[in-house]
Amino acid sequence: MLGDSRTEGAELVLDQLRKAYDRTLAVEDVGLQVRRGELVSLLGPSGCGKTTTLRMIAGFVEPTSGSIWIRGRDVTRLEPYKRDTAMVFQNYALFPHLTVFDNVAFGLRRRRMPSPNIRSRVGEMLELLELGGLERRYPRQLSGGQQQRVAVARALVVSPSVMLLDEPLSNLDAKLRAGTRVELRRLQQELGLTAIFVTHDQEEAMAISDRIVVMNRGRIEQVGSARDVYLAPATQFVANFIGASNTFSGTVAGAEGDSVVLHTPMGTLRGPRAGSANKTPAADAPASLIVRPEEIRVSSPDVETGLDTNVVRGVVQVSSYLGATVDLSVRGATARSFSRAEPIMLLACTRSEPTSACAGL
Amino acid sequence: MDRAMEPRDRAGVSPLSSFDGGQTAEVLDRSSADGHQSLPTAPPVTGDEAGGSPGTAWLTPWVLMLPALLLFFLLFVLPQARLLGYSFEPDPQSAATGLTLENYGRLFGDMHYLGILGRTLWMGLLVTVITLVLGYPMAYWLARLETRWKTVLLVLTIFPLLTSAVVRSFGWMVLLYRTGVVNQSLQRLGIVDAPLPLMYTLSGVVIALAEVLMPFMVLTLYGVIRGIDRNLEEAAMDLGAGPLSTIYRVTLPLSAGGVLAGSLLVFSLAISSFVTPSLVGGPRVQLMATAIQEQTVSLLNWQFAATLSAVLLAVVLVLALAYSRLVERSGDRSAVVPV
Repeated sequence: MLGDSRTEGAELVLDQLRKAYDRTLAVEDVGLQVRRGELVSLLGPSGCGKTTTLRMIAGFVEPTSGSIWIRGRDVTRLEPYKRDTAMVFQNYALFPHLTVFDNVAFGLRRRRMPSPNIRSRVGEMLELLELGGLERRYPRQLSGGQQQRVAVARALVVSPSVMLLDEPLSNLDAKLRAGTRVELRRLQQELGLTAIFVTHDQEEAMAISDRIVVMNRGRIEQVGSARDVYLAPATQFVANFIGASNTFSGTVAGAEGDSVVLHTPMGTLRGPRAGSANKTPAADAPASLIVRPEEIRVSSPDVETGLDTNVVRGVVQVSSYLGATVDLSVRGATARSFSRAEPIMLLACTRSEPTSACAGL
Repeated sequence: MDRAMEPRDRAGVSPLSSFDGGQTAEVLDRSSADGHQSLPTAPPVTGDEAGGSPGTAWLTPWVLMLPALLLFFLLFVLPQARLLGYSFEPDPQSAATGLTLENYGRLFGDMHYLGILGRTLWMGLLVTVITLVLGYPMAYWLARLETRWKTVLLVLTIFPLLTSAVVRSFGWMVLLYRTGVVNQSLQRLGIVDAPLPLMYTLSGVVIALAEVLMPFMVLTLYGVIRGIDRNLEEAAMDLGAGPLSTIYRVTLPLSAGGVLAGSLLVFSLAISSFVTPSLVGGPRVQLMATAIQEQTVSLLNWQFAATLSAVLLAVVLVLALAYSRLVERSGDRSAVVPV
């Protein structure tokens, strides 16, 4: 049971939420508190339980155990149509037999709002989403972007306590997606909406969210701001899933204060200890150093760096020019098969704040 | 562990997008495999490549269709034309010759035959409504069922079609007789005092036909309801519509095509059915099919039998045309949103 202190101030509370199908556990012990006006993303690869969690909040999936609270009310066993949530579906799920107006008015009519009020409210909402003049169109007569905005309008118009967005941008083309993302965020902040946003796109999650919940195999790996999950990943999964990273595996050579020294096939490397590993790692224990690409400097081998650690020599295998950046595939110095290629030196630098992680053990 | 390291520059490829790329590639692979399979079987259809003059290329499809067209003409068009021809010939017992409308005059001028036509249409309507009302929930339940028993249940639905209508009608006779199972049960339970007249009545025919034709309605509706995106029902519920409201406002309108198709199918089969009406209804319940049989076999008046058949055919044709018009109109609106 939940005390009042835990539900107070939180618009949505998930407590020890768990969903089991036959023998597989889709969602395991998911706990989360979402404040009013906050946009929280559930981020993870497909099958990580993010959509199941969203559908449990909406009421389409009944949790095996645990509870869901919306505005201090236990809604765990409440039917979807009695919950104060509104969902934007991945395929929009617009009613094909109804016009844009009737689609948006659907929720208001079910709430028995008088029809003059419905007309003005729907009109406002269509204006807000730049859908004015399309009232009498049917969904199939709209472009993908317009359909998406109708789906958002249909959910927004009922002023839900919690708005649920199930990959609402994934069916838009890449150009439209970035713009719509910003628009959605602006709308959410302007209206002070509480929203849960499910996505498998880490860039999308980072761009739009107040907080990100990184999920994997039905469990929460980390909850934090975009900055938190990128700069201080709690687990190796988060480090690999969020952003590009380079993993150097080896064994622990020793620890000095907050930093750990690793022996790797590429040489001796030093990095800060990951936030979750509080105890000092034992010597010779397997560990990996994860370095963000932007923390790596590349130079030719004859440059004097003045550094004794975090210098790795290697051979460029593939160099891909991508405009703003260059992707390099490099084989470590100990691999001799690429001797004909030009040898270079990589320097893995660390800044003052913890920018890379040493996880494992 | 691994000796290779792959430092990437900023905004390098995320693990995620490469995962998506993998999926796309898989799909492409599959389609190209299909392409390989279909390529060698594609016949060279253009006249140029076949060596013939380009002007005859349009003939190819017609030549290929010729056997089917010939059969269609011999076995369908010709007999139908002959049937229609009969209906305009005079009564064999009169001395008149040439073409005449007197058969139609007789049918539409005689309350007896108008009664048969009216009774047949009424019976068809009742059977259609009963199969629709009982079949829709069943089709809905089957379509939304998620269990491995689903196939078994579907086969059970089709099962009645695997037994002959004669056998099933005899079954209904056993049930519906004055001393049959239905009447005995009703009397023992004290629901009725005297046995209900079910055999040799229109009620009996409607009950039996509704059972016989139920699979057609259920299967038609099943296919259509299964094609409705579940998300649409979820969206309706999410917006505050209860289960009944959801079915009434979303599922039912979107399955209107299936309701129409199933109804047309059941109605046509009901008004033209012969075995069940003649066994369960007997000579006391005169319907179009039994009247046609009587005219053909007992009275040897093929001309009038043809007239009755032509009217029955016209009714079905009119309904089929109305149906296609309705479907075209609703199709404009309820085409599924591209995903």
